[in-house]
Amino acid sequence: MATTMGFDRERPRDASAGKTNAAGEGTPGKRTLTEGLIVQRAPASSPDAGSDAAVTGGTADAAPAAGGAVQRAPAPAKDPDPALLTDFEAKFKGVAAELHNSPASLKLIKEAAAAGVKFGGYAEDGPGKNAWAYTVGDTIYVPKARTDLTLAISDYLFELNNAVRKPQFDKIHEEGAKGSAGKLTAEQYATQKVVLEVEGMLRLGEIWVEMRKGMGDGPELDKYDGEFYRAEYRAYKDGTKTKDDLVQSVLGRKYTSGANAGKTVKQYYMDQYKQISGGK
Amino acid sequence: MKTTDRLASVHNDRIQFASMRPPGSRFAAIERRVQVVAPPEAVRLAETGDVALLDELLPLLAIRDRAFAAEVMLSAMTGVEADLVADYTGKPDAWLDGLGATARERWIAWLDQHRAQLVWDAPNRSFALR
Repeated sequence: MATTMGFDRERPRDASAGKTNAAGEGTPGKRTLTEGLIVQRAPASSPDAGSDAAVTGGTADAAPAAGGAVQRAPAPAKDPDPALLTDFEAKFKGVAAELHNSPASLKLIKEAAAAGVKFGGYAEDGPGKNAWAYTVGDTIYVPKARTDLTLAISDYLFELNNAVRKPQFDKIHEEGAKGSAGKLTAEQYATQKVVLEVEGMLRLGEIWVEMRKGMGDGPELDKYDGEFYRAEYRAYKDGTKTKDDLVQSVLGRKYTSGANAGKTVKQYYMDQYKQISGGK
Repeated sequence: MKTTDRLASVHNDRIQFASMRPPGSRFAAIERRVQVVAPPEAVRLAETGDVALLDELLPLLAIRDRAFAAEVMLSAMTGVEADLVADYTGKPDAWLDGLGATARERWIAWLDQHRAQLVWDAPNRSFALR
């Protein structure tokens, strides 16, 4: 059964899957020189949660200008929220205000919008017709059964986080499929996938810490901490765990259900490497 | 190998699927589940719980216009490779040119190893391993 590289029939597909930016999205905002002196921003490519020191918005009165006189920078023009957020707000009233408490969440939303991700509405009414958050194509759905807005936000952010990481996962898969002819060993393949996972966890943790502050940071919010990986994020920020520690921890976790039950994450991905590379 | 009539709806141009983080998952991105959402015939097929269907799908993995759809069906019914399928949402050609090349061998090997252990898990609309 020689099927490698062979399909019975080839038919070109159109390129309609290309993602387009929403109008006005992704245009780097021009900043004045004064703004540049006062506001420090995280690098645009800052991939994860390691950017607490950066002030990412709305702090124009943060520091005196050189020479001692306090100069206020002109208030930067606010970008309108992308449809990805306003459409979510239209279904879940109040979520936009919570998300605006977190510059990191707004950054994730903008990244996702620039990648063409859309909000499709309630999960129950969407094509999946179930009460669980899901993605179909480039459209995400959140269940209306999520009457707790914080959980609705977590559903939304998880799907966005997943969407923005797809290109990076694809590159790892493509490299893994080359087997020993590629740049990755099975162990490196597993580790790289989990690095993306941990970066996603830390990003959600950063968002939640920012959101908590805006919500009063009271103990009643602790019940959501697990959902947003707050413990992992705090350990990383406190310096009690490095990113590599977290990666090793996730690699050692076992799946508890589904087709991979009993396997560690590392085993699963090392097996996957062998399978997709055909053992070459 | 001949494909069966009941698989007529399993075609790359027609198949649509949802991907989701499984309930209770502790992972942020690496654990996904796949659910067929269109066309209706494929949705019904994917939820029959018929083990024989898994074997019937194997020949489609060698037909370019149908291979990705077959992969989606197999993944939805077993949970296997769901993370890979989810990452190729909207890009079947990329999958066909890469992982698709060896998909049939992978599924033959997996089914040979696990067929006898498969039990239908109706609430999750998927096979589970006994």
